[in-house]
Amino acid sequence: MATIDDVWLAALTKDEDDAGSKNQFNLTVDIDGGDVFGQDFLLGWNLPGQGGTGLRDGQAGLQQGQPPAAPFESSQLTNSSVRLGLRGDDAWGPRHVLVLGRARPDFAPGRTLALAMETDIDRWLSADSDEGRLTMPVRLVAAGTSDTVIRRVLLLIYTDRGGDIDTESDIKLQIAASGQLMLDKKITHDLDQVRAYWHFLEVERPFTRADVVSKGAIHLSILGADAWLPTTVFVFGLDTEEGRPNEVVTLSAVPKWALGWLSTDPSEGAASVALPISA
Amino acid sequence: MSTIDVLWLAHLNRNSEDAGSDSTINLTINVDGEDVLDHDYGSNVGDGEAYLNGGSQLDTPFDTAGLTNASVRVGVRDDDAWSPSDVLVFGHSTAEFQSGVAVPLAMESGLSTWLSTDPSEGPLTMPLRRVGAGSSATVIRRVLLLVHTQWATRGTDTGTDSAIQLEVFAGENLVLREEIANTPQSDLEKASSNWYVMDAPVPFTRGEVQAGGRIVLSILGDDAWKPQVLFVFGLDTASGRPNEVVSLVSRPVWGPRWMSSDTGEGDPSVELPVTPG
Repeated sequence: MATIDDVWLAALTKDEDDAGSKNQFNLTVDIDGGDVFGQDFLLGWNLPGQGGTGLRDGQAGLQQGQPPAAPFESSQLTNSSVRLGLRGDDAWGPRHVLVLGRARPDFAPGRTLALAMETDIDRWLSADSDEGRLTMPVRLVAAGTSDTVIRRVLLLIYTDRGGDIDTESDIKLQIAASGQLMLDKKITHDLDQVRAYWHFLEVERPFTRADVVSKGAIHLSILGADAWLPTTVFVFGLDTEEGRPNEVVTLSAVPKWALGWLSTDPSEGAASVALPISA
Repeated sequence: MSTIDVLWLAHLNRNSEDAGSDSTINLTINVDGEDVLDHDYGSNVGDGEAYLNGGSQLDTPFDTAGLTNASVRVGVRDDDAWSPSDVLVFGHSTAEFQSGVAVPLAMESGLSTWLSTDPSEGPLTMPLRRVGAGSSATVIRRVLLLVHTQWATRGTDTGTDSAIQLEVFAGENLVLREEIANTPQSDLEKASSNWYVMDAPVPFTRGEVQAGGRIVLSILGDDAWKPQVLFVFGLDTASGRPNEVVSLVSRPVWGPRWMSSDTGEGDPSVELPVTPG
C-alpha cells in the first residue's frame, strides 16, 4: 500500500437550484481514532470582480490540500475514515465526490491514486439541520491494478488564472489500448479560467491499463486555434459502467501541467500531447 | 457484543471562558461507511457545565461489533465555538434495557479542542475513540456519576441546594464515599445535568459490589431533590482517558420518588440497583 503525503479533493455539484454553496468544504481523514488530515477546501474560485469562492449549481471543483502534518498509510484507512462536511448553512448538494492521495516516491514516482469516492449522492450538506447533514462519509475505493477492467473513464481538468490560458476551442481525449482506439471523446464546452471540470466518459470497449501500456497511448488534443494551457489533468479508469466504482485506476496524473500550450495553430502550441501513463 | 437501539450523549464543558456553546451538537456513528446514526443535540450549556441527553429509540439499531475508533464523531452546527473537556457516548440494547445495562461506546477526556463551523475557531468535528465495556472483574479506580435533575413540575422546585453523597461498598468494605457540594458546576439545579468524577480510595470491581456490597446515594439536607436520570460508571484508570468504562448503575428513568433528609418529603438514602453481569 501507499504512504500518502498529499491530498486532493474533487467534487461535482448537483445541477439543481441552490445546489451550489459559498461555504468551505471540510475534509477529515481518520485512522484509528486520530485525524491524520483535516482541512477546509474552497474548491471554486472566480476572477476578481466576478464573485467569491465556493461552487455554483452544477460546478465542479478540484483542489490540492495542504500536505498532512505527517504522511499516512492508505492501508490503515477504513470505510469510516473519510468524511466531508460543510462549514456553514449555505446548503450544498454534491453529486459526486472523489478524494485523491499522492503516494510518496517510494511507492511510485508522483503517483496519484483514488482513496475514497461517492457518486450520485442524494443527500445535501449544511450546518443548518433543516437543510442537510453536517458531514457525510466517503467510502474507500481500491486503486485497482494494471489488470483491472476499465469500463468508464473519469476526466478531471483544472485551468488556473493567467493571460488567455482559457479556451473556447473544443478538446478531445483519446485512449488507445492493444492497438485499438478504446475512447475518443470530444469536450465541447469552453474551458474557463479558475474552473474545474468533471466528465464521465464512456469507452468503446473495456480495457486495462496494461493494455494501454503495452500497445497504446493517451492523447489530449485541441480542435481549434484558441490556445489553451491547462493546469491540472487527471484521467482515471473506473471498473463499473455506471454508479459507484469499486476500483479507480489511475491512467494519467498531471497535477502540475508542464506539457506546453495546446492549439491547432503551430505557432501557439501543439495540437495534441501524449499524456504520461501512470505506472 | 450488543445491538444498540437507545443512545445517550454526555459531556462536560471545559471550565474556561466561552467554552460553552449554544450551537447544536452533531453526533455521527459510522459502521463500514454507512452512518447508522446522525443526530443533533440542543446542548446549550455554559462554561464548565454538563449535559446529558438521550433515551429515545434509534431508527437504525446497530451492533457494537461493527464500531471502530474512527466510527464516532462529534461536531457543531454553528459558529458559537464549543470546547468540551470530556465526552461520553453510551447506549442500551432493548434486550438489556430493563435489567439496567448501559453500554459505553466512546469517550474522550482532558480535551482542549474547540469545535466550530468557523474555520478560524477550530475543527468542524472531532473523533471520539472507542472504550471497552469492561467486565465484573475490571478494576475500577474512579467513578463517574451522571445525573439529570427533573424539570420543575407544577411550580415545584426539583433542584436542591443540599449536598448529596455517593457511597460504594465492595462486599462489606467501604471503598468510596464522596460528598458532592459546591463544585464548579451548577449543582443539581432543575432541568440541568451534572458530571461528577470521584477517585476510589480503594480500587474495586463490580463483581465485589455484587458480592454483598452496595451503592448508596444519599441527600444530606432537607432541600428536596428530584432526579430524573442517573448513571454510575466505573473507570479503569486513575487519571486521564479510560480504556474501560464499567456500567455500575443505570437508571434512565428514576421513578416517582424524591430525595430529602426530611422523610416527609422523600427518601434520605437510596440503594441503587447494581448493573448485573
